[in-house]
Amino acid sequence: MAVLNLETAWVNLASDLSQSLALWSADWSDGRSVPGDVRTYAGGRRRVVSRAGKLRNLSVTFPTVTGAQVETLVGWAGQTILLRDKRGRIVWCVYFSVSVSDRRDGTYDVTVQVAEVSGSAAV
Amino acid sequence: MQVLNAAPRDAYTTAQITALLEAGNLTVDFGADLLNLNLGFVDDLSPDLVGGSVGRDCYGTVHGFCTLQLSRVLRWGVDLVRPYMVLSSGLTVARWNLGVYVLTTPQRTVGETPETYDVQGYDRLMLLNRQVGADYRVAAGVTYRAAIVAAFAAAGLSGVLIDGSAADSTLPAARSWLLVGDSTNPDQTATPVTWLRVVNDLLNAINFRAVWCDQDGQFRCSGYQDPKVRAPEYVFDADSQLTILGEDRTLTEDVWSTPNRWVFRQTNRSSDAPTPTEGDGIYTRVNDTDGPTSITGRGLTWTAVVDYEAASHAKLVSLGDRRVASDRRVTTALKVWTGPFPGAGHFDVFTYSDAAAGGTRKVQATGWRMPFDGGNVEWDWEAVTSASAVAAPPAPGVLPTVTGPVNTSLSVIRGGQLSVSVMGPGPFTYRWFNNALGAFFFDGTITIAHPFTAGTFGPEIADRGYRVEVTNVFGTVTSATAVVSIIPGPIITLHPTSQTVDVAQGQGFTFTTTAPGATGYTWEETGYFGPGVFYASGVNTPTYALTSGPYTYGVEANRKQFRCRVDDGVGVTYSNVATLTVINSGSGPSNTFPFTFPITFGGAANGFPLTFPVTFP
Repeated sequence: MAVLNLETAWVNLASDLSQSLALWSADWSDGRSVPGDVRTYAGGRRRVVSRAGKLRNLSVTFPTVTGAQVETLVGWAGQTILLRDKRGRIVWCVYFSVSVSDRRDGTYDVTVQVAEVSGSAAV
Repeated sequence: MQVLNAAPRDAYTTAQITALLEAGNLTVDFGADLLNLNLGFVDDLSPDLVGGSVGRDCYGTVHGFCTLQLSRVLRWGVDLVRPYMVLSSGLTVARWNLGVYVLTTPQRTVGETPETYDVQGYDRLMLLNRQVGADYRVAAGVTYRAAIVAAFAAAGLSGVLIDGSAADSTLPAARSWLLVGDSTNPDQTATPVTWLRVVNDLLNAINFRAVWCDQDGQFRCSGYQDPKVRAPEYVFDADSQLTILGEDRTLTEDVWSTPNRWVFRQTNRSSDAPTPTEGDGIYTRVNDTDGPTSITGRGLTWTAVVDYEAASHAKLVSLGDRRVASDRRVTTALKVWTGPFPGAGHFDVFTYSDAAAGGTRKVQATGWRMPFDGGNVEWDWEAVTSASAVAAPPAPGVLPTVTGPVNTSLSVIRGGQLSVSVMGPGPFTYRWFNNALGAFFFDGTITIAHPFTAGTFGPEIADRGYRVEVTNVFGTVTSATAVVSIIPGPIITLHPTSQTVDVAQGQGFTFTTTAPGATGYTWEETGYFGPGVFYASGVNTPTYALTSGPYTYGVEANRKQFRCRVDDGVGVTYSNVATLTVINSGSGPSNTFPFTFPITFGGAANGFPLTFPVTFP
């Protein structure tokens, strides 16, 4: 029986999808929320007022990233990217900071906090 | 304020929109349209609208204002923008336009990507608030309506609505707004004249309120009406379980600046008019004893002399009364906040009920500000009546008597209805409940739709129990709970009824079944196997009728059963069984009919009854 291991995560620059990074599969930590709050009105009435849409923030860690790839990731900070992981999940997102940790083998572990944005690859 | 169920919310009732505004779980969305100078739609700006707010200062020169965060460059100062807000409760989704604005002062942070502009905007009065820059005159004898329309046209603007016949009165004297004013006339040495001032001077002379812009950007000119006599447009009840009034409510009382004597002078009398006297060009009002600001209350007379350009002495009186009402009501000002209320408009009049603030009073909104993101609306209100001026709820009396609703079957494709019968002193308000869907306002009958989509009351929920709270002035009564069940066929609204016919009289029979939405009717009748075993009769219309013999009857000699199979393309429903009883009185024309009985013998070898027909000639 053939076994297909998909271990690559892809990062593409949304403004130019031909620019991509193939990285080792990322660790995802996925947080989702709805913008809104519970307000207290006269007489103690409690009421939910929320905004349309949903928020999604992810913490993504790429292991064993080369120095050149780190530079590319840093260069794409603040720009919309298309993130695809080994499970086929696709997220249009943006990150503003890049955390880089050294590894003994000369590569790096890179963690980015990304926020999902509306996006589409339709042409 | 905007009419609750005006377009684009006209698919809903006022009760549904009220329920939406007061919903316990409200979702807010917003967007904006780009319009041209004639209010025509140009583009959807929503993808580029980051946020913002709208507001209104009803006493300001230009009333409506907005702040927008836009990630798109517009023709600032030229393009018009119409923001809107969409509220959703899950059951109801409704949109409110929030006015039309011209954007004036874009501000951006250098280096920001993408470039985002914080821009101030003002409603279309801003386009009218341009200087005339020349002498402008209106001749005596011209109607105010014509003069106002001409001023708009001269300003290059369209889209003005003038309500009321008072605009058809004529100017008693020529009116001029001069580029170089008469130094002896303080009215003409004021700041350079704008088109807005021209229009408002004309409106004021016929006791119209100053021109204002509505939610769709139309210029509106309408007669002034004392807010004390205007019907409240909404009720904000701090003591209601569904209140949207905020916790913090501030009342400010000002008993100092209110005059207690007013003298009004008409300034635009024709040159040949006599010297003004009381009753002809001069109008005086005195508050001797009414309230703490009266002459008695303050111990001194505080006089205000006010000049008005009025079309007639009667208009001067109207303007004077309006001023007196205005001066006296500002003694109580309120600052409150509410949940999102996108229908806020111009000088809205509300009923404000708040036991902690002294009871129920009528208020007029003079300003408000509402963010797009669902934040609270900040209001400035002024009390129009004292807290005791609006009647308190009456003492306990006769509560409504509610009968129903009853358990109901609902057609898969047509839905169904629940209703209650209510007795007692009205009027009544209704609030239907479902444990899963929550509360929603509606009238005495609710229509339950299938399939259940947003905006309908559907049965595709775990709890299909519905009940209704019926309220009159004496209190609220909760009905029994009715359970809605779904059947896969049409709902039969008329079943066939049993009947008796006399063959001796040649009587026929008629069975009818009615089922809205049905696509096929098939009548079935009993035969050889007796009651309960039906065969297709071959009649496939809503009515099965036979007006005369011959008859063929079933095994019980003179009784036969009928029912109708009704199909709506999705499912089948059977009508009630109706029995036809045949008698033969032995005389009359029926004896001439052939009459056929099947005669049945039991105990046949094959287990079936043995039958054969016998005919009575």
